[in-house]
Amino acid sequence: MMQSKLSDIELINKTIAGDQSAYADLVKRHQRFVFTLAMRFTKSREDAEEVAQDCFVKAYRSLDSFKKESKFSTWLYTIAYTTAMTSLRKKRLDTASIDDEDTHIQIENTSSGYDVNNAENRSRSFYLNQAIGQLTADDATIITLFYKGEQSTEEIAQALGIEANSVKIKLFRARQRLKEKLERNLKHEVKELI
Amino acid sequence: MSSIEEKLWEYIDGTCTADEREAIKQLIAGDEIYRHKYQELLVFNQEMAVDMELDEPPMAFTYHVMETIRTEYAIQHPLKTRVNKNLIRVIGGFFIVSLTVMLVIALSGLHWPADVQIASNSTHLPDFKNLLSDGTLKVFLFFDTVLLLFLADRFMRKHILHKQA
Repeated sequence: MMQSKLSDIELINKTIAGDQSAYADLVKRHQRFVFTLAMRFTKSREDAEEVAQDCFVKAYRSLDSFKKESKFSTWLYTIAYTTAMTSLRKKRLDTASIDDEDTHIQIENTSSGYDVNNAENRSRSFYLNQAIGQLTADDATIITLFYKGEQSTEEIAQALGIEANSVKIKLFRARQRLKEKLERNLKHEVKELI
Repeated sequence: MSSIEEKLWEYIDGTCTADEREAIKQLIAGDEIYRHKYQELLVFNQEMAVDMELDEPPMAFTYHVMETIRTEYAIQHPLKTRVNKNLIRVIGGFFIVSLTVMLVIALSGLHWPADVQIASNSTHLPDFKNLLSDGTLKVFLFFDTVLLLFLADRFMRKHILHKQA
């Protein structure tokens, strides 16, 4: 489906003027990213859909209060982040790091069941996304916001409600952990192939 | 800055100062360890930017969001009972004018003696029977009835919509 070529601000103005189809265009434009952010927290498609939907409804309700000084995406990701966090608290999901022993075993068991032929066909991209999925919600979110959300460290700081310097440190550590996990997963796959 | 990797990431992200940038550039050019690490991080950075995939929400996601908004909006502001602000202003204006006219009629009917005595029995009250039979008052009462019916209708609609929700 063709998406509107209007800017976010133009679509917001149309929505405020009463054009609901303009908001539908905004949803279409940002839904993949918001859904991905929700997935980073919930790790389940059903829960992620609920969180992402809730985020867009909340954003619609408070569209009047959006100050057009910052990017709409930054404002929307702030809502997505807080909505996901609230949902996580409500459902008391286990957000423990993948480094925890139990979770580690679970992942290793899952990967040990790989079909060798399929493993050969897997690209490095697959392993990268797999490693991102093994990161904690915070690490995965910060990396996703930086690389796919087109957000600067200052904008990420605004979305997460932390200092820009903390974002730099968190991003650095998240990248280190991602690199380690990626290397570990690749080593594991090589062993499987041998 | 504590490590080679940290310095290089700041260089790649463009978050270091101009002086730091120049210093790191020199290190990459002259130091084999820096150059090797820089190339490694650059490839990793490129992979993350290109290969990271976003999850695809269900096909009907936008539809579900808009339906939720429409339902919520319909409950809060039923379209059939949405009142134009101008209409409210006109009604308000009508009441103000009517009350002013009535007050003027009432006051003009009063007999004001030259020497006003508060407890005097000589003050003549307006003839309310005549006022009630006045055409203006009939219109005023008719409008009141219409307004009352309109508000009752609005209340009933809200009540029904809440029950349905």
